[in-house]
Amino acid sequence: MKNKGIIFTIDGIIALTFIALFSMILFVPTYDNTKEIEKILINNRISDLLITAQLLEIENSNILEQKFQLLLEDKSGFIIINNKKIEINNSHEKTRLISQNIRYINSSNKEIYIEIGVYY
Amino acid sequence: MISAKSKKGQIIIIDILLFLIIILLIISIQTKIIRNYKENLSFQEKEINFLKEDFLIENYLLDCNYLGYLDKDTKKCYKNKIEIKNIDKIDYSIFCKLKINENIIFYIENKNNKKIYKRAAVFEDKFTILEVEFCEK
Repeated sequence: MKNKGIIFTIDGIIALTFIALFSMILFVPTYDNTKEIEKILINNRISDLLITAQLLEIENSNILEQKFQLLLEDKSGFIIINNKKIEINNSHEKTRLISQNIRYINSSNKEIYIEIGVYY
Repeated sequence: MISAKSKKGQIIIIDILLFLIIILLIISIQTKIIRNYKENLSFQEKEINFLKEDFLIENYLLDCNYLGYLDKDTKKCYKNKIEIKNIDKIDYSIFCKLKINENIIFYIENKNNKKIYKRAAVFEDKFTILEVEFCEK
């Protein structure tokens, strides 16, 4: 009779071991891809702004700021055109930054440098 | 004084109860793990979908076979420069709304709220916001 009791307990322990192995196989670490996806989406929009700024020869930071806000509505960031930097939606609490820049010669043979950064 | 038989009976009952408790514990842990696994998969699928849809805009809609501007002289394709052409060739099972600034190019009413994607482009030498909405499947 005592042996039967022990057998039940041993069965329980074996079952627990099985579940531990089962959970190890099925356990998927909750890696948050959201930030990576957001980074790619933001990157595409920054490229759009840079390319359109070059095509339209936008040299005014305030005009580019308006375009930034149309495209990236609630995002904060900055724009640098040549040496002039302006911050957009300054009160950001986010710590990650993504930025891209281009340098080109415009139709007036003037070198233009544009950098756009977005905090996310 | 408890007889030996009754003592053994008590031990058996305790063992059975212990066993049942362990089984219930196992079942609840298994259910939780499987549910978590399924939720994770569906969340990841949703995230990848955002990327797929953005990719589709870039490589399908903005391609020169559709809205991308093709310079007739140089035969160069400008992805961020668009012109309204080949609208009838666009797959309406994928895209439900296409808006260029305030002008709605096409719109198929869809009661479900879907994410709106905005891209910037040049249209008729002006800065343009291209708004695209995908059809809910």
